[in-house]
Amino acid sequence: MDALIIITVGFLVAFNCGILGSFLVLRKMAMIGDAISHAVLPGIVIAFMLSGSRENIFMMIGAGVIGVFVTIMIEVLTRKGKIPVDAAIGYSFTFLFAIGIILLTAFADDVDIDEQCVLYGEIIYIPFNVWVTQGGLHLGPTALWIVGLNTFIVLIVILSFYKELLITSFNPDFADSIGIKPIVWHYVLMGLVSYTAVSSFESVGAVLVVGLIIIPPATAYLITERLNKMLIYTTIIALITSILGYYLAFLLNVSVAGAMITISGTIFLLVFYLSNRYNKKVIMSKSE
Amino acid sequence: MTKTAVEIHDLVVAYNRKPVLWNIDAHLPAGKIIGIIGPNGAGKSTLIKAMMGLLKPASGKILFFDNPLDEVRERVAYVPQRESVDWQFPVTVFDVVLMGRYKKVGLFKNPGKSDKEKAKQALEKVDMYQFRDRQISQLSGGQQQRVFIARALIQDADIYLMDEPFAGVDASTEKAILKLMKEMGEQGKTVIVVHHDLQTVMDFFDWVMMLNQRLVACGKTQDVFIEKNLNDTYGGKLTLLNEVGQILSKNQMPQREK
Amino acid sequence: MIEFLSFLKDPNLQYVLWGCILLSFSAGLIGCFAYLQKKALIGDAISHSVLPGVAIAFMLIEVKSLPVLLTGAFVSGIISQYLVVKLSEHPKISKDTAIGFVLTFFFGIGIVLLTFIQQSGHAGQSGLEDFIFGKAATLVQKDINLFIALSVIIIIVVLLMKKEFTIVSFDEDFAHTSGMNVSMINKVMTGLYVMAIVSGIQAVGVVLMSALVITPAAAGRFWTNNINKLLIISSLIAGLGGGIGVLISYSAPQMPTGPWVVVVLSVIALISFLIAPQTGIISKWFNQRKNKQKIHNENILKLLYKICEKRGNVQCSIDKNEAADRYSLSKKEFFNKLNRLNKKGYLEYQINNQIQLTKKGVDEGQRIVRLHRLWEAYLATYLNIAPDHVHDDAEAIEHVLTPELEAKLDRLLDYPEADPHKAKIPRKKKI
Repeated sequence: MDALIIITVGFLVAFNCGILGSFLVLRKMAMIGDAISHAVLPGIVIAFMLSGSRENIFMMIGAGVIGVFVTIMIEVLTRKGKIPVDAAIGYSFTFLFAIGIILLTAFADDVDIDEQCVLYGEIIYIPFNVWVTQGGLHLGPTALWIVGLNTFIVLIVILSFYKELLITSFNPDFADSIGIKPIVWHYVLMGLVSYTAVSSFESVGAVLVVGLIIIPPATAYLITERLNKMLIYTTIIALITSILGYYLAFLLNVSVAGAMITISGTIFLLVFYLSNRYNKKVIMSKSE
Repeated sequence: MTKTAVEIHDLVVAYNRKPVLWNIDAHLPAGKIIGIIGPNGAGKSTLIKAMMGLLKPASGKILFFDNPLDEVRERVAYVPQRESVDWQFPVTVFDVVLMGRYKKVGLFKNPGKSDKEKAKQALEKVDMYQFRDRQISQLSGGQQQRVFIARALIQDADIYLMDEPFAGVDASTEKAILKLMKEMGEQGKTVIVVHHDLQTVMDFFDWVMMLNQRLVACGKTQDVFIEKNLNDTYGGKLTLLNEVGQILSKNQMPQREK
Repeated sequence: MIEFLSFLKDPNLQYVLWGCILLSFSAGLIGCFAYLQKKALIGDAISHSVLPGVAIAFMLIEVKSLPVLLTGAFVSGIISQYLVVKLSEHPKISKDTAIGFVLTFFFGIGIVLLTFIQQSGHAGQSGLEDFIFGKAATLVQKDINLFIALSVIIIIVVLLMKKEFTIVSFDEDFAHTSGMNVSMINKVMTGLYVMAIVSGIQAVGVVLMSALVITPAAAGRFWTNNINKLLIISSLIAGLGGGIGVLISYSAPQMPTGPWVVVVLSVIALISFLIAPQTGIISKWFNQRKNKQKIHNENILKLLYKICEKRGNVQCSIDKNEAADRYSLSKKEFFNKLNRLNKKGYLEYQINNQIQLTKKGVDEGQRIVRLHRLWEAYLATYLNIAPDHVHDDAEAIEHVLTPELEAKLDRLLDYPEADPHKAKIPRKKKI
């Protein structure tokens, strides 16, 4: 039962990250995902200090705001400070992440988050943290509800605004020319990524969540030429990753999040190798 | 007297406060095929982008049929440069053309049957319907350009702004685009094209705008496409303008007061 | 405070302190080139990627021997860099994706290995976690000697090859055509880059080490455009950050060092971004205020000059209320500006609210009017702009034209008598 819960939560986290990550990868903004997921750490720590709990919805919103803030910070540094964009990204998130770690260690007594949790989450403890209502009703693991709500929101937004996200990712200038504002959809996406980074924190930590944002969509992109299929393949890879990742971790008694990344990275390299071979074959047979 | 399709009034566009277009002031007539020509770095694409509201001008205004763009957006269609997108993007030819209808379809809705019918017609017009299910990287440069034009056609606009549609396309695509443009002109549509091949200007355009940081000439092709204007357009930049621009940028001075 | 100073006397601390300062110094030095080559994020990938190398090296020898662990780190750092290059050759994998993939994949493997070592119960494993966020206080003299050696190598190679590094960072194609072995030079740079990152992992940690390489250069870039100065400023900033990090690590032993180093460096960069002359946003803001002031002064003098020009006497008396009515500011603001001009000697007050331009004021007012009309003439002649469209532009440009540009304009237009509106272009009388 616990295994099922862990795998389900792992899958939902990988799904949320992967669906949003697909758009980030196509927009060539994978590292912005990296920046956001690191940058929410101080938000999470401060919110935890204020509310005393990791499962407060207001805390998630508050922490998510920092994720959006870091994208604005990067924008300001590149535009006003004339810093190359990659240096601006590297600068901004290391700064915020460092503040997060300092807060974490300075207020270690008040904050129930340790460095391990930041690095790779605590997904194996999730089944034990059960949501019990005041009437004494057991509603199952709290994290399942948090991540499930996240999935619900991601699904709603993607299904409702698929075409807006598609057109602003593919050709922002054209979208702008017909009156669909790229800036609006940029921030919708950034807001969702921040929210997802916060709600995935407990399961996979702030560092490894990036892997789930980038690796499954990048793999799916290698094998398909349609966006809708890319999203479906990302889902399938997320599922495989969470199942195999769990059992690899179980077998070796290691971190589940680390194992999930190891599995999905291995799948990516395998697909990369095969698609390269396939491409070479196609080119050879064409030139013959 | 023909109607004015586009009125550009004292337009200044600056990057980082350094003006790249100085005081452009022009009237473009409706129902004509209009070429914008000038050397590299003359600001041709900048002008089109400013017209489409993609760049915010430092001063001046642009009116389409006497209205600002936001009020007549459905009547203006834009064909960006082919290099402006990543052709590896996982969409098909048909998907790209349908994008022309996205705004009209509205939020929360997907393109319907009539939109798809329109996309089909547009693709047939550019002779690309048989490639509708191809991923867009599997097209030649000319075919990609045709897809972009089909996407603009589906918008049913009155004014078409095209950024270098003839760049890097094969001879048959060039012919097809030209034929299409002439047809559009006959239907009373205005087509404004950024162009760089001087050889074809006389054949392609009714009207030309000659640009090099400033407007050198704007008028009927046979009147303004003459040696003197060509010398002014292609005879190098005005160094003084550059120097003044540099000072504006360095001293953070406003291009316009207030 | 005395307590604090007394611990500074500890010889081991001093050794570690100077070692870390030197190490940070060398990282800041090579970091300039990484910054200029836009390789900031690749540094992030390398620093995360050294983790599995450290873990595997530890699993092989089962003791914490720093030279071996660093070798492992170096090897996996180089592999990660190679993989980034290899992956981004694929048309569907952008550099960004490649970096993000390598970073998390290697780090994920590192975490798996680290948790594996933790539960396998090796006696010497306790130190490995310090590699993640850094703990300078755990360094001992033997380790420091190794870091000093690495830092000295980096500094010497950078100094010897500064010229080559600069050219390759600035213009690879030119370096190639001028006969340099660009790929070799790039490999050396990458090697040094990985070395700098590897040497910092115990003091700063793998997660944040990339900041020690990039942030000092980003901060230094605000202060100078000169590569030599940039190298010096960036390394000094890095050294300062490293030093402060060590002191904090010693005074608060439960604190990891890396975050403190990064916060110190980031704050320095942030301050630079705000206050650096020319490029800082505060100085830009002051500059803009100054410009506004200058524009007002010049416009007022111009207005007064034009009023008198109309009356035929350039030093006429003007009622200041009448002048205020013709200016865009409120009366109070306008009179304030008049006071300022009076103090600067451009105008004098007379009885009955009358004002009069001084000789200096007339010259300045005349100069602005002249520039305005010259620019109008230029626009009309060279840009074919209709006379009724030139005024707005000249209103702005009159404030930026330098005496050299004025001379150039005069020459180009062949010393014109009048502007497109037939207004006379006023000049100083020849003596």
